[in-house]
Amino acid sequence: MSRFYRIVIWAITLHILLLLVIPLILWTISFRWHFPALLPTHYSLRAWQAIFDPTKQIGVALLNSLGIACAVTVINLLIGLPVVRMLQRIKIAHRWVSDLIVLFPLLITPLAIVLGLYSALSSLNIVNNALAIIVAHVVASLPYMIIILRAIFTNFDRRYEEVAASLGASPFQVAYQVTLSLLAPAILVSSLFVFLISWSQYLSTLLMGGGRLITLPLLMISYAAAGDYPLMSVVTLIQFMPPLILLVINAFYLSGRSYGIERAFAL
Amino acid sequence: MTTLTVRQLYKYFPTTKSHALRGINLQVEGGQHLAIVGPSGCGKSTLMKIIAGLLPADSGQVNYNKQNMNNIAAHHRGAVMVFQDHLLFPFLSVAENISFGLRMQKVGTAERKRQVSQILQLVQLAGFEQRRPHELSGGQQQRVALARALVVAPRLLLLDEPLANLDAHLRRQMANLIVDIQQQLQLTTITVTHNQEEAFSMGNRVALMFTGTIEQIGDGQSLTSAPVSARAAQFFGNWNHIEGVKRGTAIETAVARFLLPPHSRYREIADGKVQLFLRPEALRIGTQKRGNNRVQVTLMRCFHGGSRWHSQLQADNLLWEMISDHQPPHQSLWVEVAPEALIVFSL
Repeated sequence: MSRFYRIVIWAITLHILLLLVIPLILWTISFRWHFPALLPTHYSLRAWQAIFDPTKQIGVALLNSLGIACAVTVINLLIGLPVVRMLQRIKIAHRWVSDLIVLFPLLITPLAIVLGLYSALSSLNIVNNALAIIVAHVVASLPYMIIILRAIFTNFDRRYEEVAASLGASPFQVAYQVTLSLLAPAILVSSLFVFLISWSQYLSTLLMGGGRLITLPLLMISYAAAGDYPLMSVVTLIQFMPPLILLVINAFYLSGRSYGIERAFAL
Repeated sequence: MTTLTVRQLYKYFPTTKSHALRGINLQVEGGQHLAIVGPSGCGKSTLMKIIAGLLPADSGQVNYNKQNMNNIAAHHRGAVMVFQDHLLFPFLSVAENISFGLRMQKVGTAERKRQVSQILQLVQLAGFEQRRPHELSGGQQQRVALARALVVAPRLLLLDEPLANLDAHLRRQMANLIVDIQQQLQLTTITVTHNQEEAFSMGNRVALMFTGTIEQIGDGQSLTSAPVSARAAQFFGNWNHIEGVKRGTAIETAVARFLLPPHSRYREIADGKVQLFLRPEALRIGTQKRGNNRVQVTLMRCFHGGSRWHSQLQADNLLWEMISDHQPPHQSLWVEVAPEALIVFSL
């Protein structure tokens, strides 16, 4: 990496730390912090103690957010992988039709999609619960999952599967031992992306859950609306942690375990 | 040992609207090595994939030891393919790559280790067990791919352009290694290549394939000295050719009159327009001027190719090549053609 890029990366990292993370941390321990004071005038651990207070619902919101995001990621993979596999078999001349179908949800405003979904699901009597939220999140994230996976599948060399089959691997063993292993980095990246989309959804969660199911974005906005910035900052930091951990794992996995896996793709 | 028989194999690809195979018939005896040679896109790889069960044929039959394999899945056939790009699994070490097939067959860990170490000795890669594929050279990767195929004791070994990605020196080494191992293990093997030298050096028999059909099959000698068609002749070697008209036992061309020898099978060809083929080695510096089978030529270029002289000659508007023991003495000379060396196809 050239010196210039290193400087840019360090500058961006410092910028994020100074402008976002450090003020947030300060807010979590502030009791009083009024303009134009550069630092809080009084400090308190009240906001951090609220994590263990069941009435504040931070723990519940964290578990709900995690559960929903994980379920959305798994459902996306279960739908996305076979769909992409199928799309690969479509004649190139007809691909624009499949592309249009896949990208269509991205062309409509999210509010219109959520309202449409709400109306459809309420007629089936499955609104105001986790299932409705998961459905809405899947609809919002599936096009991204398919776009990322398809980009990878397009360059995937299927002869690896043929070699495995000729060596005696059954179709299941080929899929599990070879295809999934070769596509693991791509699956990890697309899963992370989908997880983050679901993790940060506010509007669809509020509408489809009817406010009955609390997630971290909902809690964060409600504390912000109430002007409780220390609690809002704690929730924001908590919300920041899982994606950060996932990003670090992803970076480690992709850099340390690639083993020249890119050779499986004609990149 | 497995004898492979292929009968009336047809394959059509609707997406490209191409007939990849048009009635292929083939037999490879147990322990034999057949090399299939042909230009790119002639259907060689499609044929291999159908034999391995990786691609279904539209019609026809693939038999291993007289057993019809058409409805048997690839993973139950025991026909292992090795591709030109090696295709080692990048997420596995050398040892894990080699033992992949054994693991699929649920062979125990201790036995797997023993067999991997044995096969690594055979391909001269002992000590490379823990390396990753991207840490190996092209030649080493190809040897690992070969070891991975051999360790499962395949019924058929199918090599698709196995030497294509290697440099000339490695290519010779690898070809020798493959032939040694194939003979040692008495493996029924098919090698597909577009390189005729490779085909002749590796196969007991060589099949020439064009646009989905087997044009000619035989040993290297018969393919090069007695091609069955003009395109077979053109594929093997730098033949000199000229068009002419056959009248009885003679062929009239713009540069000379050629007489066919008494027992030549080409005498049976109907009179009319023909194409005449002459190997560069069949041309000799003439001692006499004029007469049948003699051509007056101008020497354009001449160089010593290591063992013999290579001359580029111009006769009328044709450029011919001659390979001779002696350097042509003059710029303008007569060359003669041995009648037995004439090969004729009707146009």
